[in-house]
Amino acid sequence: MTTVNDPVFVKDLTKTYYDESRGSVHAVRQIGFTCNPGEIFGLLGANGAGKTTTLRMLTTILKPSAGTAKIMGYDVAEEPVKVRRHVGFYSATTALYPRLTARETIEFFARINGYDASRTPARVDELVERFGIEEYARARIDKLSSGMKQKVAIARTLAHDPPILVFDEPTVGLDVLNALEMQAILTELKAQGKTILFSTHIMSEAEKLCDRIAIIHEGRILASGTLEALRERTGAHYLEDIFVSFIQEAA
Amino acid sequence: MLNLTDTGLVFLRELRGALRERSIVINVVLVPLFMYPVLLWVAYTGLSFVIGQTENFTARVMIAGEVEKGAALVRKIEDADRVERVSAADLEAAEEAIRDGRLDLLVELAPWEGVGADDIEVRITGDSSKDRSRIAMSRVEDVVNRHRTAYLERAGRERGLNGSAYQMIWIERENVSTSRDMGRFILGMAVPILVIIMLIVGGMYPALDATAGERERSTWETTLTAATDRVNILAGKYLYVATLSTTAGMLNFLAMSLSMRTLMAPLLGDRIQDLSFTIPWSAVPLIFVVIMLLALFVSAFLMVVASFARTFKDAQSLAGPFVTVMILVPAVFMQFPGLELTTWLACVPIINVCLVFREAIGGVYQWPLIGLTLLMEVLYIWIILRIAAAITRYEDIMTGSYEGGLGGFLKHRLLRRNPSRG
Amino acid sequence: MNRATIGLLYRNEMRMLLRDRRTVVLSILLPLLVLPAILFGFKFMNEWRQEQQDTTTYRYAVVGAYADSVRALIARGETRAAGGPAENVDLVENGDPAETGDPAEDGGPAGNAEPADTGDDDRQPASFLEVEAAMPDSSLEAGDLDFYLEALTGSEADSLDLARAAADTAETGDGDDTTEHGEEAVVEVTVADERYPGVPVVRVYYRANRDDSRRGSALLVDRMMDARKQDRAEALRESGLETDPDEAIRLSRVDVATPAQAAGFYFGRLLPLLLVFLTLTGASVAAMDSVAGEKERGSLETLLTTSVRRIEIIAAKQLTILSVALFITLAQAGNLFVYLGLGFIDLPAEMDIDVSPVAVLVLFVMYIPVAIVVSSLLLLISAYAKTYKETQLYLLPVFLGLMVLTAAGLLPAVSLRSLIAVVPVANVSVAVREIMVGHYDIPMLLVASASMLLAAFLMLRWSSRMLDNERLVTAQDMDEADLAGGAALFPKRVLLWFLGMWAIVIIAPSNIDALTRLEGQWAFNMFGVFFLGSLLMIQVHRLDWRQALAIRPVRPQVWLAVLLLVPSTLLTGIFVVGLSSVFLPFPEELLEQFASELLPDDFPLWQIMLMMALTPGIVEEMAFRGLLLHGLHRRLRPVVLILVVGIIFGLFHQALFRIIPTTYLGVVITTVAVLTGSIFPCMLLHAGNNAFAFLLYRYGVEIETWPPELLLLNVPVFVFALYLLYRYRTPYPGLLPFRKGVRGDPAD
Repeated sequence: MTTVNDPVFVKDLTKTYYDESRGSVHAVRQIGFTCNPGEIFGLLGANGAGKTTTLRMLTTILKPSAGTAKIMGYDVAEEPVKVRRHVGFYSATTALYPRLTARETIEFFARINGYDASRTPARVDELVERFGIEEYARARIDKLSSGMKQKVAIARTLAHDPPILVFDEPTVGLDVLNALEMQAILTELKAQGKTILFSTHIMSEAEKLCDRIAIIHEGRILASGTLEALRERTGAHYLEDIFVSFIQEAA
Repeated sequence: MLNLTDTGLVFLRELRGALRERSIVINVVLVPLFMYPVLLWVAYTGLSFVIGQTENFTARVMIAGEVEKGAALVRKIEDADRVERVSAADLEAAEEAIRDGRLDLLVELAPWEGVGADDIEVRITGDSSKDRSRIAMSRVEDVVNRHRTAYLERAGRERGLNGSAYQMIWIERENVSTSRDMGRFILGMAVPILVIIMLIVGGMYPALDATAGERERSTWETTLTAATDRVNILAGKYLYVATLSTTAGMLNFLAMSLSMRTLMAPLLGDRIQDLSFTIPWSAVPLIFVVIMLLALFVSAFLMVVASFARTFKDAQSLAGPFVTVMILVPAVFMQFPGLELTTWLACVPIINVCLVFREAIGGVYQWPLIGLTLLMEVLYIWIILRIAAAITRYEDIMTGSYEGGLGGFLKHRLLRRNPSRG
Repeated sequence: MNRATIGLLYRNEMRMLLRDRRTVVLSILLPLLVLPAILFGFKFMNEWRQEQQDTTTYRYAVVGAYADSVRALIARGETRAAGGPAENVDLVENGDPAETGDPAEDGGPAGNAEPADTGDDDRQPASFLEVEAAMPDSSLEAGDLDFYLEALTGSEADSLDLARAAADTAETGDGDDTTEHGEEAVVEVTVADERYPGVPVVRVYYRANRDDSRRGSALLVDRMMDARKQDRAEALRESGLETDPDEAIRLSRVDVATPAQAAGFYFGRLLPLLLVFLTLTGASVAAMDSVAGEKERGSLETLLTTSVRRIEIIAAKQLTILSVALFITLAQAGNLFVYLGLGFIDLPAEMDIDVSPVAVLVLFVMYIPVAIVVSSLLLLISAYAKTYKETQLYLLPVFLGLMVLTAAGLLPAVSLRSLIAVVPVANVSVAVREIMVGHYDIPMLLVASASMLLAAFLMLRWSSRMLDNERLVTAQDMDEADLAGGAALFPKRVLLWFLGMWAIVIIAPSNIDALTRLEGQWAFNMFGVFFLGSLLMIQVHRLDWRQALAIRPVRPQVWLAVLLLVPSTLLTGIFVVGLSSVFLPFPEELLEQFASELLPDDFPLWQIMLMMALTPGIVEEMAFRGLLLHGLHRRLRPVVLILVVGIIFGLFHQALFRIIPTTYLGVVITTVAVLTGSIFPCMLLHAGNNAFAFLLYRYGVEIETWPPELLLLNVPVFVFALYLLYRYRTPYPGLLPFRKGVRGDPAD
């Protein structure tokens, strides 16, 4: 069932790490899911459920303890560089280089991710225009406001035009307008044919954006499927209720 | 007005936080308690190794030339401590051997019509780029010099000048300082400057952390919204920084005094018997007072500097040059053992404290100058606190939105007439 | 690795670095300004002191029946001093605290030998003022006098000497004097060695803890000796000697070293320390910021999701730090050249450096590996630490450690043609010293460079692995253990406990008189430190004492193995010690002296056995194979665990040449503990080994002199005993797996 065509393929993915005081910590336990091309796949879970760890494994920041994960057919453990070339990773917690300008940042990430050098300036112009950051494109990042920084951060995620985008809780800490803007960007990217994997703990966001949803709790996937399928399984209408009923079921 | 309860509360909260912060505990408590023993041990091991290699080795000396004529000298060289005569080879081979380190010294005896017919010339060949050769050279030269004295004495005796007439007068020098005096003298040379450096280093972290660090963690605003006068908060923080600084200073003082004997043992060898490194307990109150005043001074200064920084790192780079000066200047001054407290030096901050400290360890109390020193320190502290008070009136500095630095602040605001409108 | 990628990363790093005002100021501008400031500060202070000393008038008094003759002698000395060229030559004793305690200055026979006339006149300009003092000793004490002279006529001195001799014999007799006399008797007593009866005495009383007193009295003694020398020459001439007495036994020196080599003797020792210091200070700010700073700002995670390999990130960062380090060091060297080379500040004559271009080239080539190693090390700690502040904490130990390694160049007898060639940093330090005296040992220089590059490579690889470490990228803070306290905290605190115990063991004996005796030290170390320390650890951390002390039964076969190990460990140890003496050759005298101190003959056998075998066997095992092993066993993989426990055990035996054999013993015993999971065989082995060693010493058995074949026979026994332990092993519970990557390995 594994095919090269699946943009994201995850099977039995496990992450265990050792902590001097707590011993072995099982952050992610044997999870599995697949993303179809051009869809938005949502990982829904409470804080500490294992969302970030999963996404970090998929973007090769962390190494899986067991199981497989493939991005565009490349195994995350065996060909991390190729994986990263095809993925753009955006997280609310990761930062930009404060001493670079917005243009420099986008250019740097395009080049470092192997984007063709001759096409880079055009790509940078395109992104600067798309995100409306022309005015402050030559200012240092540390002078920008958080909303501006967010735009630059998304632009740099897209810099090398990756087919798969991973957004880790992209709307955390954003005000309503910025959050809406972010949602609009996700929809737009989907329209461009990108495959998007994103995590959130905000039900309404998942409900609104996702083609398919996986509910993750204590490192396990409790259920996954389209919203409709999940409704059918639980009989509940709102995602919130669906979520709670799965968790209660698990407990 | 200053409310002691609130100040105390802030003080205790800061202190509790500090004791849970690894960096502070390490800098203030663990470094003094453990660094000296570790350093001592390293120094001790290294030095005993070096001494073992340099003092205790046997110098390989080749003697050539008029061995018969210089028999008396040859015998003295052979009998000298840690000198071994190796069998003679040809001279060029010997020079080569010296260059290779297989031989330490070549002594050539040549005929010489100096003072008498039995006089000889001694030519010593060695390699001054090699330790062993240098030491061998000094050992043999010592023998030759003694031999010359004996030779001249005999020459005199042959001419009717007896030994005591030639000796004329016996000159000797005697140190009447007790072993305790000497021990304290050495303590005084090393301890004050190190204690003061460690005090500054120990105080730096909490001073920057309590101001710029708190701003960085965004807890500064939380603290400022507390329902008490801002003065109480600042006073509590100030006391806390000064307390940690004083603690660092005193712990370093105790640890160093306790370690000094072990440290000096390899440097002084047998002479360690002549020294006694006891802490002058009677001086401890005065030492405590000067350390505390210095801590108050340094803390106030660093906190003022750090209040212009928005992050801990900024604060470090701002404070860096000042701290360098505060450490280097006294370090250069304290190099000189004969420097004594004078009226002028009593007015120089930090150095005055170093000197009072040093003299107190040595048991010297120049009370008028000590009084002047304490007075001057209090004056400096007062001036800095005045500046600090002026700073607290500016909201933009307090909230961290002020764009300028310390220099700009002094120029544009403090020296203007009417600060409230600045 | 992709060169284009590294280049891109490198340019990016450099750009950000140079835009960081703080780094530029702290690590580049400040050091450039501070160095000349220090140099000028010292120059200024030296001149100021010199001026002060030149204008000081030393106050002294002369008492005694022979005072007038002494005054005349001083007057003759002063006219001669005034007549001589008054050059200012630095006194060596300036600012040297160790020198002040030098009792060689305290008169005595050594001061009476005629100093060789070196031809140059190095007398200080100084003025002396004689004052009246009724009670000179109390005036000296009060500081009204700098020093005073007691002048005794010959007969007075004779009677004093007689009285003193009587007092001496009444006591035990002065050990030093008798040996000296014993040797002198073979030769001949001369003017320099002993006072003849009837010769008057001038004794200068001073206080060495006062600078003026020390200096002034030394200067005046010099003058008097100078005058006396003239008087003696005069007396010889009067008695009929025609030639100048200075011509007797003419002494000349030939130095096979070139002036450049001689200058290199000093400079070659300081240079490595200076270079490493500059590199460290220059590179540390950039290094701290490069990984730890990025982690803190969160931008590292972004970089990790790009399609570059971690080793490329690390390589680019390494290059950045290296560039800064090289720039700083070259800039500082230029700085020094400007101030010292162009003569703004004078160097002492012996430091007059004359370095050939070849030497400069070789030095530079040798310096590059140093810069690489130092920057890799800094990068490593930056990669290890979670935050910028945490990096700063590690900086001090790294700094001191590197300085200690660099100080290897100061060890005079260590040549590059030894094992030191493979010890990073220390090897370059020794190499630089040799290069500076013109000794180019090309093969060994290559070995040294290779070992440096290997070390740097390993550290870089390690750093890039650090980027894979969860600790760094996951937000979980490990400080939960701190909150939990008790047993969970013990593994984190155990090393601190042992550091504390170690500090006490080092410091206590020199401060508590009772501990200078063997019994006192034994009782203190065994019960006050190890036993009490173990109990405290169990108490404070609420440990299960059976587990903490590894109280577990063992299989009977183990006892047989341990009985075989007792002699064979010791015999195998002979090889280890022999091997270590290749690396660190210790003078025989030192070892013998140490052995006699450690192994006194004047105790009854049972007492020695109690103090040296039984109690260490029980109490030290409780501490090391009990608590230390318990604390560390979940943190380190077995092989490392055994080595670390062994080394810590060795370090508690202070003296350098004891560390190697005791570390070896510690490693063997820890192996037993790991294989048997129990403390009892360790106690037997430890006590048995010590007892065996002391018995051999006691009955004068010198194993070192045995034929090597006999010692070789022991090896199979040793191996067999270890095999037995392995075969019947009951491993220490809860150990980590031996290798990384084994299934179910929690540390992976």
